[in-house]
Amino acid sequence: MALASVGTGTHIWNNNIRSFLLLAFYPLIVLAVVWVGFFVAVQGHEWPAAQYWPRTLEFLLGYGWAILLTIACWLMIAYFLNARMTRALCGAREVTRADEPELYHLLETLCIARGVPVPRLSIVETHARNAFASGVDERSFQITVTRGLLQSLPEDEVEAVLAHELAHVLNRDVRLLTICIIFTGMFGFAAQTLSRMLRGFGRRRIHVGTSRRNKGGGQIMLLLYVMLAVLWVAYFMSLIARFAISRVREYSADAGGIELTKKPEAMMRALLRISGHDRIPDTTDEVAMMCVVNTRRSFLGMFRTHPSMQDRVRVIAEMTKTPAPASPLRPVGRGRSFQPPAPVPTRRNRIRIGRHGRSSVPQTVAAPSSVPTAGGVAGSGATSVQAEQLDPHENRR
Amino acid sequence: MYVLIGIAVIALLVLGLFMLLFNRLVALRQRCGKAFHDIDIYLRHRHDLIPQLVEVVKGYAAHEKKVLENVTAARAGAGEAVSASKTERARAEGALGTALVNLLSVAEAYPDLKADASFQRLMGEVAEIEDRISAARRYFNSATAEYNTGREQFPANIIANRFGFEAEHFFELDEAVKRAVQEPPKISFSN
Repeated sequence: MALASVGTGTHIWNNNIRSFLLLAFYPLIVLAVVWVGFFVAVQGHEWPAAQYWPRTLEFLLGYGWAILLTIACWLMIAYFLNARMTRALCGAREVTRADEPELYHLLETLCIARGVPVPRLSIVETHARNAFASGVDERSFQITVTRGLLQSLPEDEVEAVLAHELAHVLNRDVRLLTICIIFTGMFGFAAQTLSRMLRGFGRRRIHVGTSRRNKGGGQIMLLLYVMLAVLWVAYFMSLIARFAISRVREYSADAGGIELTKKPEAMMRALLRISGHDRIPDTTDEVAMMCVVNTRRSFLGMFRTHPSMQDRVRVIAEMTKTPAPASPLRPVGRGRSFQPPAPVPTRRNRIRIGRHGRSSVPQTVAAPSSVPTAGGVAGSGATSVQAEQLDPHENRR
Repeated sequence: MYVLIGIAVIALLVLGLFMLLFNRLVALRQRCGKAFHDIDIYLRHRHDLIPQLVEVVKGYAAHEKKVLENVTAARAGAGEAVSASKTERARAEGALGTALVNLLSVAEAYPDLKADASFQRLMGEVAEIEDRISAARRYFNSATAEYNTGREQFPANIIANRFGFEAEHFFELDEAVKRAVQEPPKISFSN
C-alpha cells in the first residue's frame, strides 16, 4: 500500500489519514458507482453518441443531490448506531461491570495503565473463541469477546487478548476498519442482506408448481440481474475494504498488547489456544476481518486478512526472546472465575436450545466438535464467488 | 518590500513552532500531574477499605491485637502524610502495604475468617485496588518518561530550559524506603 508504516507512530498517523480520505472520497465513489450503473442500465437505449454525455450529466445533476442526501443520512446513522450495528451483526450483548466483574476488572486495569477511558464490553454467546474491537471514537469504542474464549482460556491469556484488542483501539485500526465496514459499507450490508433474502427466496421458488413456470422464467431472470448487480457493487466495495487491511496492523497490535501486559508468553499461548476454534458462526466476512484471529481463507476469494498463526507466534518469540510454547494446547476447561449465565433463549442463540428448552450442546469445551454448525456456511455471504462450504473442522491443524 | 514580507513569514513560522512546542510541553507536564493525582484516588480507596477489614478480622481474631493496631496506625500515618513530601508519602504508603500483608497472612490461620463472605469480598476488593494502583503507577511512569523525553529532545529543550520546565521523577522509592520494601515483610504469627 502506498503509505508504508515504519513504527507505531506512523501507523496511527496512516490510519487517521486513511480514515479521513475514505470518508472524504466516499460520496464521490458512490456517485461514480451510480453513474456506472446508469451507464450499464441505458445500454439498451438507442441514443446518438453526441447525446450520451449530456444525458448522463443531466441524470447526475438531477439525482446527485438525492444520492448525497442518502449518504449523509447513512453516515449520521452509522455514527450514532455503529456500536449497536456491530452487536446486532454477531448477536453480541453488552455487559456491564456488574455482569462480568472479573472481565471488566481486567480491561479496566489495562485501560488505567494506558490512561484511556474504558471501552464498552460485550459478549457473544458462542463456543467459538475470538474477540474483536469496533467503534470510531471514545463514545463508541467497544470490545467484544466470545463466551468460548472466556471459558477456555485462563485469566492471563484473556488479559493478553484484551490487551491486543485495546492496542487495535489505540492504534486507530478499529476506527479505520469500522469506517470501512459500516460507514462506507452500506452497499456491502445491503448486498449481503439482499443476497440472503434472495437465496432464501430462490430456494422456495424451486417448490413452485408447473402452472407458474412462465411467470417464473421472467422473474428468475430479473432476480439474476439483480444478484449480478449486487455482486458487482459489493465486489467494488470490497476494494475499499482493502484500504483498511494491512498485515502490519496485526503485528502492531500483538506488539502493543505485549507492551501493555509485559507477558509475551501469555499472548503466544492465547494465540495457540484460539487457533482452530476462531470461526464465529453466522457472521459476515467483515466481522471476521476485525477479529483477533481470522482463518477464513477467502474474503471474496481474494486474500487472507490476518497473518498466519505460526508467523505471529514466531515473530513474538523472536522479538521478545521468549521460547514459543508447545502446541497444541488443550483448552483449560471452565475457568475458575468465569461462570457463564444460563443461555438466554433468543432467536439468534447459537448455543442451540432444543425444542424442549434443554441445551443440546455439551457443557464442556473438550472437543473441537463442539463448534456449532449453525447453518453450515460460516457466513461468507452472497459475495463469495466460489460457493465455499466452510467446514468448521477443516482449519484444525 | 519582499524582504520584509519574507522576514515576517519566517517570524510567524518560528512563533508558530514555538507555540507548538511550548504547548506540547505544558500538556505533557499536566498529564504527569494528573497521573500522579490519579494514583491518589486508588490509594484513598485502599485507605477506606482498611477499617472494614479491621472490623471483620476483629470479629474472628480479636486477640491479634498487635497486628490490628499496626494496621490502624499505618493507615492513620498514611492519612496524615497526604500533604507531606513525595518520599514521606511513599514511605507511609509502603508501611501501610506491609501492615496489610501482615494482617492478611495472620488471617490465613483462621478458616472461619477465610470462609466469611464479607472478608472474601474485601479481599477481592483489596486485590483489585492493588492491581489498579500498580496500573496507575505504570501510567504515571510512562507519562513521566514521555514528558522527560519531550523536554530533552532538541528544539524543545531550549524552550524547556528557558521557561522552567523541570524534569519529573519516576515513581521510585528513595534508598531507605527501597531497603525497607525489599526486605521480606516481618510476618509474625505470635502476639
